[in-house]
Amino acid sequence: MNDVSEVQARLNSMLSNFEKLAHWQVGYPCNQKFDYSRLFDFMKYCLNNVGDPFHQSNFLSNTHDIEREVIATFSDLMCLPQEQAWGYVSSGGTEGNMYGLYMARELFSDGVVYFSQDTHYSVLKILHVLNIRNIMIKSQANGEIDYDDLYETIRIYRDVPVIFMANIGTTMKGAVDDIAKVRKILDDLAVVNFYIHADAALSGMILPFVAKPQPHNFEAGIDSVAISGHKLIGSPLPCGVVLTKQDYVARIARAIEYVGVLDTTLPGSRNALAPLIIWYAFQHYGLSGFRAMVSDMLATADYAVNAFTKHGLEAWRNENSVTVVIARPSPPVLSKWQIAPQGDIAHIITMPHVTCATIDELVEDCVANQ
Amino acid sequence: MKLDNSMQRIIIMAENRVGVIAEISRALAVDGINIETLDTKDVGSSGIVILTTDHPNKALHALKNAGFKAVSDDAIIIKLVDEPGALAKVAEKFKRANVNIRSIHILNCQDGYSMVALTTNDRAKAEALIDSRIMI
Repeated sequence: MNDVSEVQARLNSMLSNFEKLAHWQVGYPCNQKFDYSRLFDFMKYCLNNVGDPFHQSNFLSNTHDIEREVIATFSDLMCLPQEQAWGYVSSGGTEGNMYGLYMARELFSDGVVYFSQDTHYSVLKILHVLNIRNIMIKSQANGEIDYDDLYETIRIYRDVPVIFMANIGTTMKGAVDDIAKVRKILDDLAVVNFYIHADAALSGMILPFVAKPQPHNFEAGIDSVAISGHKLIGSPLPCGVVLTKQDYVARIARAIEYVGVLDTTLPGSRNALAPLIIWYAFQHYGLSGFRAMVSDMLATADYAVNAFTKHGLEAWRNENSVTVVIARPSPPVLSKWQIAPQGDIAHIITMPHVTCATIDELVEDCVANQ
Repeated sequence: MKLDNSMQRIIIMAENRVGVIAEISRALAVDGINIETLDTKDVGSSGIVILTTDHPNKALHALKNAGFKAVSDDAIIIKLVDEPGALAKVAEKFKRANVNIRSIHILNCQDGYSMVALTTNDRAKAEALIDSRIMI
């Protein structure tokens, strides 16, 4: 074994670096306020959620029962009756999006995927891996899909199944594609074969808790959704939830004899701690706790818009979004703060650890380094 | 297996300003990549740089790492007026001619124009259908 003191020194150094970085992290949608110390003892065991959480597994050291509760909670949040719901805790939003598009391709192998130019880059990788035909549609200035362009493009291929990849909160601008408008386009064009997958990585935990959410859930007409666990909920490891309808999954089920399960999930071995973490967060906060958290975050986002504009700096946000779009800060600001710029814009995301004092500090730096 | 892709073009979306070509050349030179041909086109306030190199794959990585938006020439690149339905008109033309679109990606929108990358099941036929004035 390597020298114990050297190992400890390296760990300490890494930890100290992460502690320092946490304060400057304002541009990524990761809630850093969490305490899962009551789950530490679970790290003493080799746990694995291999297989479908709704089928019995031969590997008994799993948290499938907890995972099913997590799926039930998200079914309620996304307005999908629990008896029709199927899903699992994934490694994050990308796997969830891949599952949704995989499901769509299995149901409509000749379908074309339509998605806006503000869609997360990982979707392009997924489309390549799944080898599905795809068409990128223009976005509006606020990041929402251009419905006129979508209409005109679908009109040409109305005889081909439509697979719509909806952004429920785009990565850069927090824009929400209105599912009701998309459904109207499909109705107007008499498209009968279609599938709507929603990438609701961050906003999937925001919209269920606001007074007037944009149409985004199963009631509005989606067929599957991916929501991140490590974003608003907060988690020390990346994770997410993918949710769809049981009927669809039954059509693509494949029997995997050796683990004794009907493995309808994408991976083999799956993280068993992630469902525990998400489940624990819901036990800890409750729905009312998350509602209050979202309300506070939106209030901080408003504070940020005002703080920037008060100093003559550009800042705006979409409705029900905690993503505040600002002009690209200067290099000294970008080297100090953890902010991801894109072209001439950047954003800050008012996660629970981002306070009004943090915003003031950032605005001060932006003003000083214009 | 060795793939011969030495003639593959690389298309770079860049700002139309002094020094861009030097920055591209520097990004490639650092990794020992030689530029074989280089052409530029203006698209409003942005520009397109088209080049071939002795190591196209390595060049794509080097350009990406240097912050440039670069794509390989597997796709047909066209310049369209940035308005609803502009892409749809191209798609309609392809559909009538039985050319299957594999993908359509918007690379850049600026000054009322979009740069669009298209891949189809029949490149030659697709190219013949596109007005040469809008093809990059």
